[in-house]
Amino acid sequence: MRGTFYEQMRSLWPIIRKYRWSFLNLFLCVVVTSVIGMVYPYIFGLLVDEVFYHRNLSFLTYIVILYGVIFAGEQCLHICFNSVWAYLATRFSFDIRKKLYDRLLTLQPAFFTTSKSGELMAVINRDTEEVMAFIHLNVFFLAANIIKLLTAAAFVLYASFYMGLLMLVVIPAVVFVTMAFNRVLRTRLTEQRDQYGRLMSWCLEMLSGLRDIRLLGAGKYSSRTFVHMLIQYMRVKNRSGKLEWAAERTVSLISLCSDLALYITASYLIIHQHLTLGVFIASIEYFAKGSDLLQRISGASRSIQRNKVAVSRIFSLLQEPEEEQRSGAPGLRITEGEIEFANVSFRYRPDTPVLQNISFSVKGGTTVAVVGRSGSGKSTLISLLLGLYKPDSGEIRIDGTPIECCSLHSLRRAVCAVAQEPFLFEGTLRDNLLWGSSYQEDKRLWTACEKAFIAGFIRTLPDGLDTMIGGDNSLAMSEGQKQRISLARSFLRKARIVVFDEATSALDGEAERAVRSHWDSIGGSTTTIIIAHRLSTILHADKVAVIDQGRIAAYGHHLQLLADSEIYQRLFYEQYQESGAGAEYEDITAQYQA
Amino acid sequence: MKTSLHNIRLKLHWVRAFSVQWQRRRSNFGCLIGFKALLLGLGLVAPLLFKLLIDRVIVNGQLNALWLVCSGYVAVYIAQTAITGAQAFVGNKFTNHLTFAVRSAVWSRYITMPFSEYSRMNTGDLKGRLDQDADAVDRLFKVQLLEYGYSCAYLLAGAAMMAVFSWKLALVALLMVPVSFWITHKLGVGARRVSADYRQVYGQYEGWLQHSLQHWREIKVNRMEKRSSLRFTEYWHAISKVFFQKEMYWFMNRVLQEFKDLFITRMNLYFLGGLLILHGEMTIGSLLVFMKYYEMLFTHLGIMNDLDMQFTGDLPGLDKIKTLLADEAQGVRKERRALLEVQPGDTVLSASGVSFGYEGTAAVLQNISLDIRYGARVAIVGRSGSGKSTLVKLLLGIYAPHEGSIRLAGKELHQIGEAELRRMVGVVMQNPAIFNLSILENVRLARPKASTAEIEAACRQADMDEFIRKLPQGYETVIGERGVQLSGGQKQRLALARVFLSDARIILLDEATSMLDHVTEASIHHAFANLPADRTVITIAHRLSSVMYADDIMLLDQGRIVDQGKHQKLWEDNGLYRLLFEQPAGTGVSSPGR
Repeated sequence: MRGTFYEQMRSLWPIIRKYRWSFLNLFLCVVVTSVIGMVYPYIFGLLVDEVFYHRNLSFLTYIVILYGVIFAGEQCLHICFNSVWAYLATRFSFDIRKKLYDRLLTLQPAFFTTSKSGELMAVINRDTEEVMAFIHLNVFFLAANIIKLLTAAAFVLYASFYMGLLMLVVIPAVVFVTMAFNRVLRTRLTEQRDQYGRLMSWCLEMLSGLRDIRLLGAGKYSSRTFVHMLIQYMRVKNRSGKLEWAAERTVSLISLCSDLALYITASYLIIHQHLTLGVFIASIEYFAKGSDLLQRISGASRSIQRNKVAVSRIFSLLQEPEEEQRSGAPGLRITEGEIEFANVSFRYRPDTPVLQNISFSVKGGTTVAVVGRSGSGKSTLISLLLGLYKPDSGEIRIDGTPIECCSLHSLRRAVCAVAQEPFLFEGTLRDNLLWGSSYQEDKRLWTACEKAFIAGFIRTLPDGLDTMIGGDNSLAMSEGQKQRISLARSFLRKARIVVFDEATSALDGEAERAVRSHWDSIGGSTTTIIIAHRLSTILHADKVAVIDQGRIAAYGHHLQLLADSEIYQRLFYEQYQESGAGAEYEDITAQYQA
Repeated sequence: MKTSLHNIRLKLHWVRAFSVQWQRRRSNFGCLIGFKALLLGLGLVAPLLFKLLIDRVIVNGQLNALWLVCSGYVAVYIAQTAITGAQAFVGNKFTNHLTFAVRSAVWSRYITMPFSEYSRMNTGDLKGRLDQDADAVDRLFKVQLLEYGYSCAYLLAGAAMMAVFSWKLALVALLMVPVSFWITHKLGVGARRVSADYRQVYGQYEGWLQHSLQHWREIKVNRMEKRSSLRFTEYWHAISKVFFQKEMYWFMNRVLQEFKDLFITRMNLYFLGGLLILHGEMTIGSLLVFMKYYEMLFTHLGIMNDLDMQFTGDLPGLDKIKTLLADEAQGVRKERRALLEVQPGDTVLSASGVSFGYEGTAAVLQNISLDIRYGARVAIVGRSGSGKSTLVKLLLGIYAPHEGSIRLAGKELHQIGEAELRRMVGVVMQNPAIFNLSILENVRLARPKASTAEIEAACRQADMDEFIRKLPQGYETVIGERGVQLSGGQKQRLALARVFLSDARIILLDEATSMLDHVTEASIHHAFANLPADRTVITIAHRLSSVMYADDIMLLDQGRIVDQGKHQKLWEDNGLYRLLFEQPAGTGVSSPGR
């Protein structure tokens, strides 16, 4: 854990400060309502004494009015309290959430590769609530509970000195015995839970490979192991069941003793006229409330522990290094669109080099296909070009300018990447098309869609470009259609450098035609890099770069490579022939021989 | 009320459904009912002691009655301790028996059900039945029947006790119950609607957030940070609005509820009770005890309400277990004790006229006939999609052929018991399941009775021994998800070790060495070649090196056996075979020959 809890809280101090008046308001409400709440047993005691014991029915009206007034006052404060609380729970937590989310957006890519989205969501949604819970429950309510406890003790002491004395002795005794037993019980239950967890994770393990278990003929063996583990679990459970019973009985014995002590003392006091029935009835209530409060106060440390963990998670997220924006640096200006990789080396982890000494250049306006086995570093190459990671050594230059000297923003504006799994967010198709580019007329949108072979599909939709996607009952689109939307997006951006990451699967047929027609139509002005899997893509590229084990193994035109490079031949054979592309292969050989 | 009755009927229905599991423990269950009845009696007596205390001791000043009250309380405590102790003991026994019966029935169903069902259910689903759903069965008896019955009985008995103290007051009090429920119900309508809204908005937000966190790369690359941040704010704005409404509804509910509790229910009764006391129809103690019963009545109504909700939640689980166990009767292979024997010269495995197709697709295999002799080394080759893997699945009895028959040692495959079949036929698949256990246990699955030395020998044969010895804990090293990660090739070798360990007479290798390098592969094949002649080996592979040395190679194409013979013969005669293994021109791999 970095720094103490209070130092971590201090990082949130500006936000807390912003809401200080609301917090003060909340605190006052909490304190006042809790004290008022302690008056009820006393009034009830009055009711018993005056109305039931002294048979003074007219007093009932006073009591009802008193109740009414207190109740109304309390509820007014409650309204105040609840609205302030709801305000804080949303606005205050929102400010923290927003800070976290904005921070997340600027973090270094390395962070995302090591974290799970589920955990990040938990920090944003749940841990932020814990900050509020800490202030609300563990600072304000703790204070309020202490005040309440003192009030209860004061009431009883005021009513009768002996009863008060009894309370000060009995309540701590009851609470500490109860807590001690609960602690023992908790450790035992943890043991039981662990045993159950072991059983279930074993089951999960076996169930995930049930077919193999049976094919191995290990069915009976696994059943035996299952039964054995089940019996072991039941033994632990029986033991904790016994303990649970013992603990429960001891705790109720202690509270029985305290009750009886209260009854006996009260009886003597009442018979000697030192106490009235009403005060006795009220005291029973105060005793119960008192031990409840004391238990809560002593139990607060555990929930504070949980708060601390949450706050430290928030804090450590806020401490993560940010991506360098280089916003002061000059913008990237593209003239030719020439890309040059010069001696680029890169590794994610120190022990495993991913790219080693990559050098090649892509002439402006040409198309280069990057091929290689999975894991050879193709996608990493693209990530470096987009400035997601920095090369360990070497440089990437666009039109002679090293990309590290340009602002990140301008680099990413100049280089347009189309991913294999396109990201469409909730909104209209129009919003999605205009991603990353400024507003454009519908006519242009349609032209882009036309080029991406998606216009026809959009025309069939009743709402056209205003069709909602990504929501609950919205349009369902196939992966290919999404891909084409993302293609149209890239056409709209008119980026001078376009990167297509086909990643693992191939583009669907139509999307691929779109890519190709795009090259044809734009002709010389756009530089295209494509991570290729399809033979036809490679055939149409001006050059092919073969990456093998993080190095450039060969670079040249397809036919030339097929003739010269052994690695290319093997790759070509493995990837394109076995995947059932026999027909295509024959085409190629024909072409090659010709 | 109606739903309660409906639920009770439903519960009885389910009790009957699980009669097999609980009938044997019905005496235990009877005891539990008895204990509950005794506890009910004690629970009703305790408030009477309080009445005694108030009326006799405190109001009338009879000190000797105090000792009666105290000893009464002590007696009740002792009786309760004894009964709850016995209840815990018997209850544990009952639960253990019941859950054990359910869990082991589910488990044995899992390892005998038809293979095709594994693909229908996911692992989480399978585990759910062993986990929460089995507990739901236990809850049905211990909570839904016993606790629910207890609460029901308390309602009746409590009402009766109230009537004994004062039937007039009881009448008024009981009339309040439906009124109170009606008010609560009315109040809940708006709140439920708002909570549903809230869940929906929040669900949308969570979906969006996850999406945006998972696609951080797209967001960065397309410079969508600002826009995402804006969207985040928009979502929280919407959530805050609904949250505020929800809170206010909740708060209003609470105010009205408290108002109702305090003024309508309680004050009314105190007023009437006060009148009755004035008229001498009731004592103070009676009124206080009356109110105690009345409060308990509401508590139990609340409990019943909660239990009804829980029951609704448990229903799907009960249903799943029941259908699973009901299927048990069907689809299980009959275990026949007759042991299969194979002699040298026999045909061990044969297929005649076998055709097969998956549901809704064209035939994958057509009219396959083959004979595999004792001790033979057979290979099956073919392009991907030619039906090789399907053939393996048929030979393993995972699927049954639509036409034709498969015989093992002269006996129809579907007549052979599962255990016997698995003892005879061992298999190594391309992606073997590796369990999160130690290496020793992982290999041992193939033959639970094998000694450590035998396991080590098998690992040596699979060329795994050296690797294992280098691990810090050797054979005790835990592998898999939470242990040492194995590469694809290492997993395959582990699976090969399993098959070496097993007694299987027939070994099927389905792409079992596809991830091994050539040296290791050669050594594995050497090991297979050196197996005693009583083992028959069937290899399916893509690589030439895996199949070259087979005595007999079958060439599969489009679901038919198109050619058969030794490598040399097929290489010379069959163009398809050559195409399968021929390297692209120039790489220099030609027919290795023998």
